[in-house]
Amino acid sequence: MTLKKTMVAALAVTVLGTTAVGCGNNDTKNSSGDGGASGSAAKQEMNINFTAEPPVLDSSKATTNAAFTMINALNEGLYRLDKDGKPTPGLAKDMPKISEDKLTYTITLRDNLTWADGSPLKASDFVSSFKRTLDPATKAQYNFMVGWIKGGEALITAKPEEVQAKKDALGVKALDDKTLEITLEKPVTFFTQLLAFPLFFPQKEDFVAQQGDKYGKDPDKVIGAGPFILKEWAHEQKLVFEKNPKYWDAANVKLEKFTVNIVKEPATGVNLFDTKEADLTDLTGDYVKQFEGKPEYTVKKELTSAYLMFEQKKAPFLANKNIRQALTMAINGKAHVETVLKNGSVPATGLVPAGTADGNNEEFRKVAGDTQPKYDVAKAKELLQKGLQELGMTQLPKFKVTADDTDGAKKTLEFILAQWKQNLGVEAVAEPITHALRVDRQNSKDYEVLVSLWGADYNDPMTFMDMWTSTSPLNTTDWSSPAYDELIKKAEDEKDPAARSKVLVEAEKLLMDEMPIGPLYFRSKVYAKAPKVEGIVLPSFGIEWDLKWTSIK
Amino acid sequence: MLKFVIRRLISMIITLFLITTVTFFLMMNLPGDPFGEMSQKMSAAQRAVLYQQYGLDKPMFQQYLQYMGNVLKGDLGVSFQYPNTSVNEKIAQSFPASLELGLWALLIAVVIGLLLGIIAALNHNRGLDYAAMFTAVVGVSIPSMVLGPLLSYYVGVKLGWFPPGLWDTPKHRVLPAIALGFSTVAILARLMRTSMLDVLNQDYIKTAKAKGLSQTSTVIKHTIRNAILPVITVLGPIFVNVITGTLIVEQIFSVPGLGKHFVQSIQTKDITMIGGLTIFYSAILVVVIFLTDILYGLVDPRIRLAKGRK
Repeated sequence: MTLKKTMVAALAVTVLGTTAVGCGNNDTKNSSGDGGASGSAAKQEMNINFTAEPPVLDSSKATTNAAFTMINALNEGLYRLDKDGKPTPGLAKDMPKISEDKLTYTITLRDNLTWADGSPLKASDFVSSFKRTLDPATKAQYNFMVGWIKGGEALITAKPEEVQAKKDALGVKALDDKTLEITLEKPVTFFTQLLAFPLFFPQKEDFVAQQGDKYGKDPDKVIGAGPFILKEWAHEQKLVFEKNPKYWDAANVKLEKFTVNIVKEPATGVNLFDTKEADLTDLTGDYVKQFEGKPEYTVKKELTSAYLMFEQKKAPFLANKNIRQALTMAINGKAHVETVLKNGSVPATGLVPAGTADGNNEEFRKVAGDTQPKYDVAKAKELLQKGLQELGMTQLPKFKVTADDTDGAKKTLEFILAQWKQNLGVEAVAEPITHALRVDRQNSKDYEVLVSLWGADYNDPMTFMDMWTSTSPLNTTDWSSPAYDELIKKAEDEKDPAARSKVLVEAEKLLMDEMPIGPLYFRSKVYAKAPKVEGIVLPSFGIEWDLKWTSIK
Repeated sequence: MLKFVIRRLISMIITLFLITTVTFFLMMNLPGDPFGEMSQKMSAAQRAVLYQQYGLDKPMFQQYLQYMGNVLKGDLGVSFQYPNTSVNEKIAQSFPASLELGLWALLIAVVIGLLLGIIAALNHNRGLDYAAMFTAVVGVSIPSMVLGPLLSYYVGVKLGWFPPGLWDTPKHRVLPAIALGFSTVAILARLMRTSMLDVLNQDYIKTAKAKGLSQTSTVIKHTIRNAILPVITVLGPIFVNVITGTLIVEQIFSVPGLGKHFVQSIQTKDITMIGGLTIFYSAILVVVIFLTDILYGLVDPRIRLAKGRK
């Protein structure tokens, strides 16, 4: 017996040994490379893991976080958001001049701006970019915000023969090479901030035309005027960026080079981080715990809200307000984020996530306070009884709760069901399905209760609130409230930011009282970041990171 | 022989046609919107314009005819996830990595598998035989989704011998290739062992020994050369198996291969990508089967005749 064991061991060693010997010499190279990096003056280079490949680096067609992040590195808008999410002048010389009626923005560009190839960047490059983004032939999907420019909505849905006329009528003009004038359909209090988002970046017209359908596909088919240049793009593998010496603020860009490796598997990301092949990686599940309390642990609070949606026609008992309130109130948000999510997320205290600006230089959550009733089992039981009485029922029929089938979403689903059973004695059935299917079912009102998420398109409460009006295609709950519609309309028309903020608070209070949706948590994301990396900006929506101000210690 | 080849060719084309058709209708009926999340951020009017731009508003049968026409021309369409990139380009970008990974895995499997098989056969029913077969069984019982993370963590991070992921240098190929090839080791080792035992019992081996040939010479010149034939015949299908089975290993080691597109395209309902990948992989499989059939026919006339008579 012992002989056999020895044999097995010997064999195993041989098998591993042969493969290891073949590449032994490469090993030494690796260790010496590491030694060089930790020399006296730190190399201004870093490696980042990213979970997805940017589908295309074209600011008109981009829809994903990956694409926006990379475009934000190689190009720039009139403004750039700083570490607090406030717009600071980018390609624009200073803040916009806004007309009395809040509809016209006049913006002057910096002197001597150039594209990365040295050719001059003009105000007309913004005009052509906006028009291209709205042209139906571009097949852009995420252009509704650019559509807020006067005549924008009409251009998005224009018939081929009307396109040229609608383009000419669009409310954006280059008054001269350095002055841009944008006219809006109606006032948008947060429009300056929007101009920092990649959808509003300039495009070099002749270059885009020359590349045609290939624009944004490879390093030689991309051009920007941002802090970095895309040097190499091995698809699905890595993107290599280098500092752009022609960037207007090149003197303040310290990072010389960074490589983005496409790593989908969180465990591999952590392994690469542990072997110093990555300086920034996402943490999920158990890895969050592993890094908790260490200097590498970095949390980013996102402008993303997770909530339950109650479909009132599919499950008629959900048309009862007390039932909806009871179901929401019976979920212990604190336990949810601490024992299930464990990623720095915070329990919801309303629909609009913490960190969202109110359009009046304040944080909405601080202005509004907690509009959502707290976790309260006794109260929830009471409300349930009241609701059942009103409905003439003795108990709720068994209903389905639909959610994504990712690990995290499934755990959330289990948690909610357990809470209902334990706190209310309510039985529900879990229905985890793929993400695409979940979105489809949500859009087609084919659910009873559904766990959904919404991430901000822009930093303002409206991105979370106008979706619940009775005419919004996103409101698939069959809940409708004329009072709510009116408040949202009032906020949209209100030109005074302070008054608008108040109306929005009122609207959220109404929504949280009616509770067509039951907010669960405000999402956070956790990273492991090498302590030597300083000044990395982790924006709370749309963009993963901004390295303009990053340096290596 | 020509008749046989033509017959096989026709059946291959019919198979591909059926696969393409079935795939088309299955993918069109997948629940979900090809614009995914973005579909929520569009007005109904805009969505209608986009559907028109992509030809999704046409009747299903018309879309089918158009799709088949394009596929015949070798055009698999434009991916919904990757605007500006055709499915053909995406395959061209990603397949080389899968192929390379598959070839390395196969190489490892062949070298180790054959060695184990030979060692086992030469030590029939002795310790080394059991040890070799035990290793082979371990190989087949540990799936790559378990072996991959173990290798990445222990060999990659703890021992630091090889990078735990990515695909830059030859060094980066080692761990994913082992993870992918290990289960094939078992198959090849067992096959080689059986085949070796068969050959070792043949009269000509006894003759060779009787002639006074050395043990090494008998084994190398007579036994292995004869025993390896059945192994070579299974390499074709195994090869296809390995390169189409890279999905999990690619994910674990961040290999920029084709596998992940399968899962991702289904999750996002990227219909053109789903269709394109299915057709591409089916084509590889069908062509390899076709070539194997012809090779068999060439090698063994009985197969050709039997089929010819039907």
